[in-house]
Amino acid sequence: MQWLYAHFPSLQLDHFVLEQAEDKQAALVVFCPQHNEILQVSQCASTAGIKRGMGLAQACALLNRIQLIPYSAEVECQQLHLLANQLYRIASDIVLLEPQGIAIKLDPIIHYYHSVDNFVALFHHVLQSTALRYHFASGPSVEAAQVLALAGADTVYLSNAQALIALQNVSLKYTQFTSKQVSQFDRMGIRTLQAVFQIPLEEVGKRFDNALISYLLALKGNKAVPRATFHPKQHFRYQCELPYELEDSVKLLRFLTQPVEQCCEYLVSQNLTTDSLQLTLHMADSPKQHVEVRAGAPMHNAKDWLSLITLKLEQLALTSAIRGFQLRCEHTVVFHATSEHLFAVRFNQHAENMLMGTLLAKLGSDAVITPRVCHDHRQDLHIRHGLPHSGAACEQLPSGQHPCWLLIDPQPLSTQTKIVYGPERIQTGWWDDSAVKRDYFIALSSTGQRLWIFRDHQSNWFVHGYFS
Amino acid sequence: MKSAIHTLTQHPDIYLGNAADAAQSPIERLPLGVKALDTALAGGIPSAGLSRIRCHQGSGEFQLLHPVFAAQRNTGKKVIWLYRHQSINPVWLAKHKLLTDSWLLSPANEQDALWACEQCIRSQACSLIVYSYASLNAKAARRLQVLSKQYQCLLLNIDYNLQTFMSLPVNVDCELYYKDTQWYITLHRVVGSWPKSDIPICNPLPASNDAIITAMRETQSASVSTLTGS
Repeated sequence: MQWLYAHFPSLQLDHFVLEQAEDKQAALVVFCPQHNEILQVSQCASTAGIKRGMGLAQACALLNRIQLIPYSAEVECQQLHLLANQLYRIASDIVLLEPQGIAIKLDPIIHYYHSVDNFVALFHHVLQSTALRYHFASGPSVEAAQVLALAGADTVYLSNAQALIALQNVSLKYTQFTSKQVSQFDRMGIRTLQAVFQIPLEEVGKRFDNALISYLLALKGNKAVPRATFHPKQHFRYQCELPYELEDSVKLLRFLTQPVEQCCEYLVSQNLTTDSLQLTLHMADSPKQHVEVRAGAPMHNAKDWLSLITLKLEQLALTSAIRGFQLRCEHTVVFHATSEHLFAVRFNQHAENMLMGTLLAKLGSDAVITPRVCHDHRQDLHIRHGLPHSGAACEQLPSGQHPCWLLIDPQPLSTQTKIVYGPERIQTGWWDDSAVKRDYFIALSSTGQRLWIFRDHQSNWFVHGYFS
Repeated sequence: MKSAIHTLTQHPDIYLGNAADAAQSPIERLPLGVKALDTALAGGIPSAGLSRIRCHQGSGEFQLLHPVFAAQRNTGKKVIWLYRHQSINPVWLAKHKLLTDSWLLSPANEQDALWACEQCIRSQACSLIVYSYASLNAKAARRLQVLSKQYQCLLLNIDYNLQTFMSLPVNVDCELYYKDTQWYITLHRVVGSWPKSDIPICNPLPASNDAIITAMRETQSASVSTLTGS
């Protein structure tokens, strides 16, 4: 048996940065007030020297403008379920280890995807599209894969034997042993799993309880702990605490867009549709306000639902400021296709998953790109795709002329051409290191090629693309 | 439902026995919207199989193929772009409503490019593959032609290498070129029709300063006539 485990150490923080944060570069920390302990740290805060496990006073001493997010296991569990819904499209046997872990049984998947590499490539593609930070590892059991992932192995081992060899060097702090048990082992001079495995189980049984023996057997892959597999629910719920109070109901749309899209993705994946969405608004100084958005006919398209929600929010009179909301979709019905379209979409989704996994495994993630348009007039940035969430997706396209082919690095213009259109000046990027000031033209060569050329501020001419 | 059954009957893994002849239908073609060209192409580019277009990069070749791209939008399948040095502009894809359905592949070598092309055809997740990685040789073209016809996929080979010409087993083999301010297409090979040379076509520029130039000329001539009159 082989399991793949993914651990999301900053699930709540990453979710907050992606969906709610006004300033994504701010120094953010997730803080547990009960234990006065910092649990998750953003890149900016980490650069300032703030680390996990620090107290609030120590963190504030290092950086006085940190933004605190109170830790919520509920938020993490909710995000984990949403992630599981996404992974359920590519894998069947999923086990949730709340609040930060997901395990996937690889054995049945190998037959479906022909090899582990194909699936793992697709698995990374799905997780990278969420822009969450994660560690992963494979192992003979959920427990073994979990320990390796927590230790940051980030490896899918070819065999379970290799995983067990890697497991032996892992420190006990990454295991599920209690702190008391770890200190007991420490007093005996045992600090790695290799040393623990060398002790006969009878001897372990004299000092520790049966639960620890069961855990050790599970770590070695000798005993399978029964676990409930994940099954998507027949309803969708999303809870959100807003980072600040909202007086205007229309401004809520910014926070509702992503949940509604997730809800519709969920409906499509489950072959469901709905004619109503329920929205509960948590108010600052008054009781909860319930809003029901109804459609004339069952729908599962996010754009349609968002346009209805916009209309509803425009008419809504708030009793006080909004602090949070809950989106629910409970009245679902099975989608009865009147044509073969839904069948075709579902069939294509499987075929696409298989193809994407194969391409990623063979060609690598740099060679397989799902294009995105970002909010920038510098065309160079559009082809430096990076991760899907690296640039904000935009519906409004940049104005001006846009060639089909772009040269990754503009080349000096070396052929005789005639300008037929232009100039279009692009002067932007003064806020970052790639400021540009260029006058773009369309030029015609003697062979009829339509070149996209520009003159830089030093009057040098370059070819930047071709109008095909 | 009819089209779903049609897809099944066309599937290469299904043996139809005596019904095979009955299941075969005339070649479905995608018109390009240029009357003279569509007539010479016997109706358009065949919707499945390999077709080659030879031209200089930036000759407006995709502009000519716009009706073919438009036909792929509603299939629910992917459009694959296989290329080497340059990159496809996502904004251009978005303007042609191809952004969400497109995947861009830039393999490290030609062998990987051909492998990726074959995988895309076999997956049945793609309706159109635009292959501009390199010139195809006869062996690769034959293999891709058979596969793309079997799996009902349109494979367009955009060949920017005009130095060498090799006849290939393709559905349509054409050359787009510019001579004396006029664009022409020469059809070297068309399945179901005869080759034809020098078909003049309209291939407009994406944008031009003509309107400004005309307006300025009119203004100048008006001012000259005013001065003459006074």
